[in-house]
Amino acid sequence: MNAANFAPWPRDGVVRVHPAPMELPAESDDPGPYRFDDPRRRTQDRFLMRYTASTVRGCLLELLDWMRDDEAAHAREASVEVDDDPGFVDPPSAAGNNPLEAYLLERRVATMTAGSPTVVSIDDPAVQAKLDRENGVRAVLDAKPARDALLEERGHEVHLDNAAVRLASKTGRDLTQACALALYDWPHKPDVIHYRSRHNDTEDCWAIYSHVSVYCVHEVPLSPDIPAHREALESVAKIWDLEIPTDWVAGH
Amino acid sequence: MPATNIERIQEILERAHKESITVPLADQAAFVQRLLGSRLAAACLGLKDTRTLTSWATGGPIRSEDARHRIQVLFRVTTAIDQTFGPSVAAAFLRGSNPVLGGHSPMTLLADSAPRDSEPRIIEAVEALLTA
Repeated sequence: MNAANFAPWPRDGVVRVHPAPMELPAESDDPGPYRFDDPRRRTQDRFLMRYTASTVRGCLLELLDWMRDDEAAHAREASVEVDDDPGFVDPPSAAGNNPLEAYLLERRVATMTAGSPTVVSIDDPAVQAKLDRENGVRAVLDAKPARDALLEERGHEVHLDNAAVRLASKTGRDLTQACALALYDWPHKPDVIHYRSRHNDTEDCWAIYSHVSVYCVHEVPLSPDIPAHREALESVAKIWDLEIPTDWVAGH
Repeated sequence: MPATNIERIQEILERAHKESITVPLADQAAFVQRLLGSRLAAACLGLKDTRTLTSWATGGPIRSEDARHRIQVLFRVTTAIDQTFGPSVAAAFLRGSNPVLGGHSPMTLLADSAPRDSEPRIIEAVEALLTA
């Protein structure tokens, strides 16, 4: 099974925005925090993932989603009664710098590719139907959190579909991690999982298993001097109303 | 000297954890107050006013076990992010709607939940932030 028709592997490679983009994540005894990380604890055969996208914009959408405002947090902070010296209330250390600039400061953009990787798409209904019958995936689907999140009133059984694989919660992550493990255990394990960004259907993302050899096509610093980088950041910042760092403003 | 980015991040996370156990609580409270500001730090600790935080930061008694634990979690989180990206990212992280936390901010989760429950979840979100 492959995703040749559903999501062909980009001929020019895929992109990762990271301080060390060709580096693999660290091995740990615990499951990773990302969508397709290995969910097992203390396993000898742990797989790791490189998370990439077709475009810099796709990478930034996935990278910066934690920066979206939380109204409840603002309200709580505003409700705190302050009777301190003003220097203690809004210290320049936290208030004076743009967090977006600080977070992106040392990042680089690598375009990488692999020989002819076997790709499955988590959005492919045929793949979903097969995964739906996998024990590890069924265990998550049949558990209460997934039933509460996905089953309609008086529904009988939750199936793996596009809503399930895009669920933005711990349950959603448990589900996609179970899928990644099931795929890893298939006799002909895929090299890459294709998925669409939860934030934009048009952005293709690619989780590359660590058993795949990838090589760097080229690598450059993430920079406002590169129009494609600047446009990507402007686009994402606009969606989430993030303050664009001065250096990144066009014409600066 | 860490050889790779990921080793550097792991070292920072481990050091932040160790310091949250060994550094005196008053010093931890003073650190988060100084770095984040009184209002944000107090909000994260579930306090209604900044007076209590100032008292803790100057050696005043911290009577509740949950309050002591919350200071340690906030210190651990703030130290790790500050050392990696600086204080503005630490502040933004605490206020942001975090996908690893189901859209909750670390601030509200820490302030409203028992810290023994919120700590592993918030640390997972920190690790995601630092390694992404």
